[in-house]
Amino acid sequence: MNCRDCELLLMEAARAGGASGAQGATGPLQRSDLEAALDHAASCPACFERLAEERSLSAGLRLLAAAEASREPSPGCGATLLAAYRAERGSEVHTRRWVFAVSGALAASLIVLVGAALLLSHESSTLVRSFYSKISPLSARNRTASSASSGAAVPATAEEQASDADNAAPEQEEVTDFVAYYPGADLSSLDSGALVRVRVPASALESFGLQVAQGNEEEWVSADLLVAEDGSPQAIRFVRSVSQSSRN
Amino acid sequence: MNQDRTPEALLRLAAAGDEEAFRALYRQLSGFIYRFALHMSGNEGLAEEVTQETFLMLIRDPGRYEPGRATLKSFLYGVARNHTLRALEKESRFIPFAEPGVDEAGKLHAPEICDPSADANEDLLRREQIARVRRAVLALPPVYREAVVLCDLQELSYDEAAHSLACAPGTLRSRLHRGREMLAARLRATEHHKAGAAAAAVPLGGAICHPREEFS
Repeated sequence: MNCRDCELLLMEAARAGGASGAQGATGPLQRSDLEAALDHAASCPACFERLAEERSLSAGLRLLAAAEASREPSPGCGATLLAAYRAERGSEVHTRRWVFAVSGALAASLIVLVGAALLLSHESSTLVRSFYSKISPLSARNRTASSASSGAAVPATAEEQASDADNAAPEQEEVTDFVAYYPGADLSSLDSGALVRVRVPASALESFGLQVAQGNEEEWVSADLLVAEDGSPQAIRFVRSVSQSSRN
Repeated sequence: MNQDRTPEALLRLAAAGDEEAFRALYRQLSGFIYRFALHMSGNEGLAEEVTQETFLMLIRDPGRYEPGRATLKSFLYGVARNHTLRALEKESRFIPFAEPGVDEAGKLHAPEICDPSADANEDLLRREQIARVRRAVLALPPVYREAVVLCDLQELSYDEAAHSLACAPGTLRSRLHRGREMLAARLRATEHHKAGAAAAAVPLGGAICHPREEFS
């Protein structure tokens, strides 16, 4: 080992010789390295002097560390920090409460909105139905079964839906004009109403001024009854199913 | 019970709102942080300020400490180091060190280490030696001073100190070596200066007139 190799090791040897904390401060150095450096210093006057200086320095630093080991921050410093800690934790609790309150309010608003949307959707469907019946009583049945199955928003009674389900084959309906159910009734004064699909004997057509082919009197035909809000029938039209194939 | 807990465990409890854990954590670590800042700056006011700032950071943002990377102690040393360097850069008024035990008029008023068995002269010499080492440490450039303070005065391991200073252990070791060299050179120079002054002050009767004796 030469003087250059020895230099750092002498510092470590001087530091390790003192305070217990410095023992672990030598890091990866082996005890054998330190002993080799000390052996070298014993035979080299320059390194011996260097070691003495390092030891003296370490002793001086240890003295300083010991002199100030009891120095602590003032009690005021701790009190200030404790107050800051309490304030911070307090504001955190406050913030947490605020977040809970806002979340609750948002959840409540959401529930109200969803409820309102459901209510409106139900009412609008009723309104559409009555509106549709009002403005287009004559064309209500001019829809094909295929358009019904494609989800068009045309209101239909349960009977109509059942009928649609039964008539899975592509067919089209032909309808007559609405005829007043009671002779002389004014259909234009009707504000709203509902269509009800019914089945009536073909002979009933005659009572509404329609002709029935010979031999068909015993048959049953479909009809749409326009019923007012008070439940009284106002008008009727007759429906005939025409299969797609027969039309083609 | 909190006294037996590690600083890391205490921090977890304090972050969850346990005030007693925060008190215990402060009791365990505040002295180290305060003394580090005091050794670095030589100013008690600044050291207290740095201690406050360091713990305030811990109060406001305890999540900044990542347990897997280093001990809480060396993490806090790193935080304190940054505050100290910033304050030292900002205010040069902290460089002259007001020696403990000496008031502004330069009069001794309270011994730092009071050893009843030691005689007054011995005590005086020891205090003077401490003051010389302190001045020499404060005269080091900050990059070497922090290495000496952490490794030799605070007795951190190389790994802990390197983490606090955000450098490699090898870099820290060479900074420490260089710092100690500069420290030794400065102490040698003051020793020679003191010896020269003492020789000049030898009166005809042969008694050495110590520069500080006039205050005792």
